[in-house]
Amino acid sequence: MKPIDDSHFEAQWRRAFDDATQTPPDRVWERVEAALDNKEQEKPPFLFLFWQRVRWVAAASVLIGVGYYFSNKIDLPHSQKLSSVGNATENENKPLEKTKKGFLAKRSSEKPQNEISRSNKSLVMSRQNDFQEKNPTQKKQFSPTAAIPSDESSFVRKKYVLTPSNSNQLNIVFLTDDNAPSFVYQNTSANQPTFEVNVNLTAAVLPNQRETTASLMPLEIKEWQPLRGVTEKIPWVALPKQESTEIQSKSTNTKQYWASVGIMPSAYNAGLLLSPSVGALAQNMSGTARLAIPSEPLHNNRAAASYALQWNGGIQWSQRWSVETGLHYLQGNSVYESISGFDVFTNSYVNNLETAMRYHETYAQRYSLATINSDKAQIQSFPTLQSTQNSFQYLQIPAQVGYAMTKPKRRFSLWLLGGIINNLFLSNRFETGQEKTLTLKGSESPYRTLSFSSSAGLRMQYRLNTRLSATLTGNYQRALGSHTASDALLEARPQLLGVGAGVKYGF
Amino acid sequence: MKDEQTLVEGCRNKDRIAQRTLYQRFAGKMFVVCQRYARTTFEAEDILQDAFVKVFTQIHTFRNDNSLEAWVKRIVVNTAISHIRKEKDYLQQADAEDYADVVLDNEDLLSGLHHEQLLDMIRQLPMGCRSVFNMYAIEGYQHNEIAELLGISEGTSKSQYARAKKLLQMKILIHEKR
Repeated sequence: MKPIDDSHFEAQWRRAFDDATQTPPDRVWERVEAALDNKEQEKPPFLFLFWQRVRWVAAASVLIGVGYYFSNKIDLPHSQKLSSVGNATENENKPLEKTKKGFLAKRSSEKPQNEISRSNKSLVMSRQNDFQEKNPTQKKQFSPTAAIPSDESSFVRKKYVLTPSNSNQLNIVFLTDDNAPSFVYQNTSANQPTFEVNVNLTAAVLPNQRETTASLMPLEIKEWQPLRGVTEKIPWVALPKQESTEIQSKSTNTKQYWASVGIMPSAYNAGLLLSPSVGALAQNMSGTARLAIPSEPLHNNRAAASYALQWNGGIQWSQRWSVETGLHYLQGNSVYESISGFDVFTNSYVNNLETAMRYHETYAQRYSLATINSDKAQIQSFPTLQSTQNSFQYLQIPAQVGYAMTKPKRRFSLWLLGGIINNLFLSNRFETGQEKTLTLKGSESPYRTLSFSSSAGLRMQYRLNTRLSATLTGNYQRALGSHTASDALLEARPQLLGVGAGVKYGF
Repeated sequence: MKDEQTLVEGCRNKDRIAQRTLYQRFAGKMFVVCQRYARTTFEAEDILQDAFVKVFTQIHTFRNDNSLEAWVKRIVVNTAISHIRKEKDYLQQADAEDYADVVLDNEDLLSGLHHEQLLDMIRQLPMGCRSVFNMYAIEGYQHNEIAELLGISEGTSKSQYARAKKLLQMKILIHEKR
């Protein structure tokens, strides 16, 4: 703006209005008041409110970050190896600040117990060195200074105490939780500054929280940086894998045990493959040279409707991962098709599958084939396609790992499953050529008592409430190797494809 | 000064009594300012209302080392300018040459005239030159500042001012002849 009186004309007008006043109508104030009321009733935008709440936290975070950055700038190199315990003190007269940066040392006399400044979260440590510089006759000795009580409100939820260990060590005993380890910090040398950082693994029990025991193990200093603001600069150490109670409880909280029950309709294919020698054996068994068995017997497996009853239990040990096992009863039905001889005299089949079953174990006949053998001279047979209903009973014990493809806490979650199925053979039943039903169990059958299958699946889980979920699981199982004994005349490599529905209960 | 600080502090705390006190302290002067810019009294009331709502909602930006009256007046003038910017009349172009040095300044030009009479004269000016006159002659803005604030060229501001000046001088002369 220009000066007030640079023009006579304008100055006159300005003066004329300098003190001019005219009272506005009262309604103006009423409208102003109403407008202010409306504005005060209007809620500030959410982001503004959010910022109002977090601005100090954000500012503090920035300050801490900047402080952390600059403190690291003067820190020691990483991974500095430690020397052994107890060989310290060559250059202890040198102040700690000069040896390893920022280690704040003061005489114990300057700070009585419980008077350590906590405003800057620095642990003021007693150090004989400073004192010794002024009192050279006095022996090198560290003295205890202060016990810092637990800071109930601060960000450090641990208790600290400074204790003497021996004449050459500075010990900071971290009184953490009941079972957490403490560690001992020791300055050993100034010229070649090394620090002893030891973990007291037996300090789990600290009755008065002022003492520590002496089982020490060396550690490697991972990084030099302020230790949660407790000290000015002391090494940041990797404590042995002994998590604090707090961490343990956190991880424990993520575990969830669950149990489920369900049924899985499925298609089961026994995957039978007979040895080429079975045909000859069947011919021999039938006693006729005219038994029409093709040299390469035709065989085919077809899946049939089957089901599995499933009882599962598992642990979700992290947000994404779970392990599970259980007990499944599998009723697997399959159809085996092959060219078999048909005895017109006895009106019965010379069933290759039966032959294979009965001639297992070094081709020794295990069953009396009296029906055929007694009439073998009269057999007249011709090849025919025979379908054999074949049913299996297994107990299955799965061992599977689940990975949540979506967040499992959501109402709908998707899990990828994979693992091993342990198959315990119970029985196998099929129709023989003599129109009888043959049931093989245990060691009488060529099937292994324990066999394995791989399993993969996809589970859709819908949470009904906090405890209960409905599941729909697609599962594919494939045999790992033959389910029959190595000397059997047939191989069985079953496959299963099913979709199961179930209910899952979380504990 | 201490009283003013207390008043400002009360307004910052949204104390309605403090707000009313501040309003009553400055509303008269500011209403005249509004009337200089507005075409009608109702429009002046609207400007005054808007300006004081801004004053109370922006009071946290006021620094105590400044004059509170000057700060309030700046808000009132800016609010008035915002109002007239919505109008297109002030964009009327005028030839600066037409109005240059038409009437010589008279030292006692405004003697014997009450501010209400002067206000009437101003309000009889066309919208465009009235705004420029207010801003240049009374508020003390420079033409380049006026041009920026009103969104016009500096030449237009000068010509509008010359026009306003001539018209006002003519009105004053007519008034003197009565």
